[in-house]
Amino acid sequence: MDILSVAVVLLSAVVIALLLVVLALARQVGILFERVAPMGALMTDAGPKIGENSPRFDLMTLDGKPLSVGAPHPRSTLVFFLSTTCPVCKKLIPVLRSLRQAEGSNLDIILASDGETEVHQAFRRASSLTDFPYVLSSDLGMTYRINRLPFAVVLDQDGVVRGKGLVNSREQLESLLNARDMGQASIQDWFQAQTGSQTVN
Amino acid sequence: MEGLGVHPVFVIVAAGTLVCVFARAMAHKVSDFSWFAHTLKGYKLLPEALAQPVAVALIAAEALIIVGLIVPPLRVFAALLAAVLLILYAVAIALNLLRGNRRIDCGCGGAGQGLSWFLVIRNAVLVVIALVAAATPIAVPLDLLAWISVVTGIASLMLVVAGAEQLNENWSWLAAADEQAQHLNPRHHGHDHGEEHH
Repeated sequence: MDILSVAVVLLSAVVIALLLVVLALARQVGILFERVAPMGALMTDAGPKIGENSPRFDLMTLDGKPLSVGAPHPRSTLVFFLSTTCPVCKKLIPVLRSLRQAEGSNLDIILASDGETEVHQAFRRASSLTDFPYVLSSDLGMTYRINRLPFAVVLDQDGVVRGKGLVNSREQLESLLNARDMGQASIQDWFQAQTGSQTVN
Repeated sequence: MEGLGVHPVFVIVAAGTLVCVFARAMAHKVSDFSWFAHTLKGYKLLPEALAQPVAVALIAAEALIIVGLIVPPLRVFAALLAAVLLILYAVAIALNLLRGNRRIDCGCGGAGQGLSWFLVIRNAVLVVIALVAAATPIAVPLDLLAWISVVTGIASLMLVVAGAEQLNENWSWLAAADEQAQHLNPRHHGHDHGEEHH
């Protein structure tokens, strides 16, 4: 091999090494975003407030079984509002599954949306969600003033709202359940309680 | 040298890179087929009934491209098909971006990446690579150094693709964070306990 060939081989190796470094850096930035971005589930003030009783909804699941949301119930309920077209909802489906496994007998998970039944039936099959109760009710979504998805509401055994918010990640979903356990509406409220009531504006 | 000819190393690197890119894309689509069909509906360009057959057709086309790029007599055809498919995807993405329908799953694999112009640019670059892969190489013998260049060339391009996609994903995290911040700020207007919902 002449010197030029040696140089080319060497440089190729260096380029690949550098690209690996760039990729690793980019990946690390991505992981950082995933970890840092969620500051607890985002809250909206509209709709039933934390600590208030949820209005009662008597609904029918897509399987044709009656289901009451907001009625006294032996377990807590997590109502997960999704749509068939939201990418983050898809990302959270495995999270819901593992959450159900972890919480087991303490938590019922209900999927809620609105729109045409056939579309949701197809979506439900496509994403193998048939083992979750799935309700369609525009009333439910309107009452909770849901304008962003995915949105989750946590109700306790008595049908009292214990947590609600826009959830974009596992951390945010878990923070809602932590809120239920800690009696703080959201991590924002917890911070507010820690720092005293600040005056913004 | 024959003026317009392309050195075979370029052609092989281009073809090899496309094989890797399409293999990755196809693996995603096959492993989560029902979601891919659903993603197609999200693009709102087809009658819903066609989503399933079109999904199958797209996967078949990608398989054909992968095989064709490897089998020498089919190379030019496969490379041109790849260019057509990439342009088709780019147009579908661009149309949805122009309609403001950016919060749909791009179907590029991974967890819910939205649409962005980056994807259109990425596809444009890949089209150029496809055209290089379709070019007629000049007849020169390939020595060891040439083959080393082929391997390192494909590896480098794939790493560039992976790195760019990761950066795009980061960028969509940033965009989501900005949106959340905008969503959060109106909340501060009179956020005291006296305010009830209306």
